[in-house]
Amino acid sequence: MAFAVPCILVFALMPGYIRFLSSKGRVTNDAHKPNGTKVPTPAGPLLILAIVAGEAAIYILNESSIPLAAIAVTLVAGGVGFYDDIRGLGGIIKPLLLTVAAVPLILLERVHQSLYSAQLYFPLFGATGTHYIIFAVLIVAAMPVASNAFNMLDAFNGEISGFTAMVSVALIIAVLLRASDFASFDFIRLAAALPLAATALSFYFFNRYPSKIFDGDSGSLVFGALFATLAIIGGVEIAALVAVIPAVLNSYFILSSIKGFVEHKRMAARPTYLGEDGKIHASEGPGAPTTLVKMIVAREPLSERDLVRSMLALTAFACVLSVLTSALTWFP
Amino acid sequence: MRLRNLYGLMVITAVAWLLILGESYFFIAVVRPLGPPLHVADLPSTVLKLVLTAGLGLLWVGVMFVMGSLYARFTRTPTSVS
Repeated sequence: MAFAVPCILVFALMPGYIRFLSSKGRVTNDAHKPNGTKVPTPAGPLLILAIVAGEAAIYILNESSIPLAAIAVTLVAGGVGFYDDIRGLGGIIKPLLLTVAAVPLILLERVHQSLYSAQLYFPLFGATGTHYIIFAVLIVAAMPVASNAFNMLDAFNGEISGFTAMVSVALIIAVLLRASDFASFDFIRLAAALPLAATALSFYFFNRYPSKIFDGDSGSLVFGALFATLAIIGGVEIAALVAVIPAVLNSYFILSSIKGFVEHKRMAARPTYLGEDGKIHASEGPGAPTTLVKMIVAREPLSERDLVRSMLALTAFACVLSVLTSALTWFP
Repeated sequence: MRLRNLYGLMVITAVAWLLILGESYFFIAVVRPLGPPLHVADLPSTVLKLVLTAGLGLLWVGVMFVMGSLYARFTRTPTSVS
């Protein structure tokens, strides 16, 4: 149910939603296509609906606070993202608003004492002590960091949906490996991770090259915030961190090259451009930020399709390391 | 898609991962035994633990900076400072 409901909703409603957005003129330029191709956006509201429906199905069957936490985080991050899609938010105010997504998680932990475990489990070397306050601070920091890391990766057709689908599968494997080590493990933690994977995977069929719809910030911010939430609830933070190393590196290279928080729509120059050969090239102008994609095409320009495949291949490599991390954590 | 274009970035990813493992060992084996848990520890022990933990974060950032610079040099990635 947790996997099927989001898939059915996305496949059933997305074609009509694409027509609805087009009829309302909610389209944007696809920057990496010639001839000013327009693509409907944002898919975020429908993705939020699919995730909430999947989590609600788990809640109806189990009445656990775990899916409630996932729903609350999705709605808060989705609300911030949707406002950003419609009105636009600054490079500083957006991360600040996203910290609010941590509030329902921390509050629900006060009610349901075992919502998450306030300690980190490291591979090979064991766990930290239990620190509720430090862990709460880390959760508050994790929300904007994870959301923006996913958001910064959302630049090419199928990049964010493919990336989220792959890292979600790595997350599910991590939770599964943890569950097999704990006789008392609550399998709702595993079920709660399914709607994100289902939504991202089914959305990939509409978002892949050539995109029929873009997710918008309402989609990418929800993907990031929910991924962080599920990693915390599942107790697999380190494995989750390893899976998203490509997104972490991308954010790090962007921030270190532009030296600050700037909304990507307001950057002085783009990191890549579409050449006359129809391929993506690395920008050479001053002020163009360094991104992972720019580093991939630095050696050789690539078509958008090949570029996203390269990015997903790198993500697959990180996911393998993540599974290895999980194995080293629970079966050292 | 040519996988060889990704070898450099795979090395950076692997180094980032190995650093996480190595720093985990340092954190558990060296930083954690420096004193009692933070909520009952005295101030010097707490500050020392926090400084060393922040140092681990800075080390990760520093190594990634070096790796990124080396990658840019070898692949001639245009950077904002060039």
